[in-house]
Amino acid sequence: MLWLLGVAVPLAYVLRMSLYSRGNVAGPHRYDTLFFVPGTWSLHSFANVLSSGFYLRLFGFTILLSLVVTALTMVCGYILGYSVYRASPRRKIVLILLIALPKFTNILVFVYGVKMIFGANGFWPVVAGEVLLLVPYAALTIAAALEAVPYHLAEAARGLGASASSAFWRVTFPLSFPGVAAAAVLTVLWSMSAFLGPYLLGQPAQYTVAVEIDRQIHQDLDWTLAAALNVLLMALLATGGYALTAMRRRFA
Amino acid sequence: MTILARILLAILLWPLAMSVWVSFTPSRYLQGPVREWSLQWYREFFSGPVWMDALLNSLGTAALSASLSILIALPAGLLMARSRFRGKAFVEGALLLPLVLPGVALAVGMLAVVRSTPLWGSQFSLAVGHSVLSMPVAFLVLRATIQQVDPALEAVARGLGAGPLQVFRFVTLPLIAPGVLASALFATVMSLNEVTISLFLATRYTETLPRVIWPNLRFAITPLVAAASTVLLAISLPALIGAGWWLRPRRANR
Amino acid sequence: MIEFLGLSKSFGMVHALADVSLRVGDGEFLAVLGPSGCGKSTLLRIAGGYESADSGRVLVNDREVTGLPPEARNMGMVFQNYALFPHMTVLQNVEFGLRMRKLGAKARKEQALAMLDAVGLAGVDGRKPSELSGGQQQRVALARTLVIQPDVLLLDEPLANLDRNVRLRMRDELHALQRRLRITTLLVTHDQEEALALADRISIINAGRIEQTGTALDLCLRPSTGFVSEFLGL
Repeated sequence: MLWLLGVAVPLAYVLRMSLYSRGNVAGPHRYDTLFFVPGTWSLHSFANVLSSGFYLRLFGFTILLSLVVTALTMVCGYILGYSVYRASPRRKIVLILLIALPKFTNILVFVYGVKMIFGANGFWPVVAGEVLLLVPYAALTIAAALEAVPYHLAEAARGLGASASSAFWRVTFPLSFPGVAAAAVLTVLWSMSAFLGPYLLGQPAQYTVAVEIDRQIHQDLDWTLAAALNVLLMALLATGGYALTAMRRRFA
Repeated sequence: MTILARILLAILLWPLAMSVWVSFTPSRYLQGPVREWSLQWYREFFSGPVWMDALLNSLGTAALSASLSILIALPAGLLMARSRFRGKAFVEGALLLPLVLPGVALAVGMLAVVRSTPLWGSQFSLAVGHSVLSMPVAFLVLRATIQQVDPALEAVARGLGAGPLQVFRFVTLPLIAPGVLASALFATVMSLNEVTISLFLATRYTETLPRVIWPNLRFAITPLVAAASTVLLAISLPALIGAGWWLRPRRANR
Repeated sequence: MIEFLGLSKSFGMVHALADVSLRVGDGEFLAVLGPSGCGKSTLLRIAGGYESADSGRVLVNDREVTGLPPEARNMGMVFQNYALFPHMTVLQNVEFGLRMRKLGAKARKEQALAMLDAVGLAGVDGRKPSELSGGQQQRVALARTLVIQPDVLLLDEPLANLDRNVRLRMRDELHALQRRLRITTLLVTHDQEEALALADRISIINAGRIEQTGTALDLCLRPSTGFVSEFLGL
């Protein structure tokens, strides 16, 4: 029930909304004003998005940002995940709590801290903010995947004459790869819908699709356009997620 | 590797520490207290009616949304942990879907739906919005907890004359109580800190604390924001540690 | 008395039980003996009402129980791992069935303590199950089951989790207890020695079919199939 109310209906509504025509937004707004004309069908908002260089660049930047963020997140996540894997049981719990801590504190506290550290807004603050927001998930997913790899396999490899690093790269890493791939897929999906980081730490040049959706809803009041952007973003996520999962299956 | 991990962990926690530190500054600007510490920003926070209203609103919404979350996640967890049926994988995917959906997409959809109902502007709609996000987490925790309960315990209770409801009341529920409490706490903390959905669904009358911090963060940054954030942290942290404590691994029950 | 009439059960392509008919008389101790995966556990679960058969009937004291849920059958099942409620004390465990039967607190406690006494566990009623040894846990499980005065006692490999010494002693005690209470008992086991020592009659089951049923002497002197003689090590 809640699921229907909270997930299915809103998503269906977004889809429908993207197909309304915009109508007139001038005049006084009442609290229940809907910024579209009910009952109409129109592909206008999709045509708007797909024909505009601005929106295509926006999607391009969103994808680029997501790739940079994912790459950095995976490296940091693996290092943290591996240290959880190698820690003693007691320290493991403390480590997990520390890593998860930022996830359960206010995202704004966090962004606020990043802002103070960097001083100015820009591309790298955005990347740093998003990586910091996503690293906990990645680290814990990878730690869980590593947990399934018995450490004595690496020890056995060393016993057979492998150096520490080649034992890691030839035994531990390949065995943990399925988990790493799963974490990477999730990170790509999450970073593609990045909203708060770019909004608070970026300049207009670093705005993502999600930020633009918010702007259309709250400032330009073009809800049909926001819905169309939303549908396209979700379509991108779905294809991306599907393709990455398929790739993961082939390699794992 | 370990040294690298420590550095990363420090970086991860640095922003958090920074804003706590800055909240004690006597200065009007964003700089840490150097020689003297001051509680002036906290005084301002606790004497500002806007901030206090928002804090109370936040707490109320969090309690409501955590209850909703558990109300859905508990039956769902029982169903997914204990029975086999066709389309189970699909139901599981649907339950976990909000985890991967963009928050903005959900928020826009909810805004449009809620705007055309009498629920617009109600605390309830905001709580529903928050529980959509926390329900999957509560579901994962509860399902894992329920899976740890030996099905033979429930079978024995049935054999001794307990009906399905009595089995739940006397056997299953007491055994999963830690998981229920922990997921309620997780859901509470998630709601307290939720930004995106609140940004779209909250109105003047249902502003939550993060929603009040938001414009300050974008336009007029003062250490008051740091103080407000630290208050949120001070509420969330004990809840989080409590949840971790209840979920700690225990000696297996025989 | 419990009687199975033409029970069949399959899981997908696997026939767990194929047309099994069996009768355990009043006060009789019958052991179903077979290798693992032969369908004997399925038989017990159907008897207890935890699994439903594809076809066939179950009668208890000439009462049809085929479609009834476990709580309406008045049978006592003891699981291999005892399945004691970890959040309750020993006394609360034993009282559980009586509580479900809406018995008053005083009568409940009296009966439970008497039953704990009968299985040789006086004085541990306030402890938690995790503080007991394996043999003690086994006794609690028995007491918890017997206190509701079940029509039939169902035992699923009850001694398999015990050390050898404890196992032999528990075996003798179980035997004596069953004789004293004259309770109809169905035991499922893969251990020939255990079946021979405890049961009045033994049913040997293989791949979902009953190969032969009879007294220990019958089976040893006149094994009807090659499987029976091989399984008994003759």
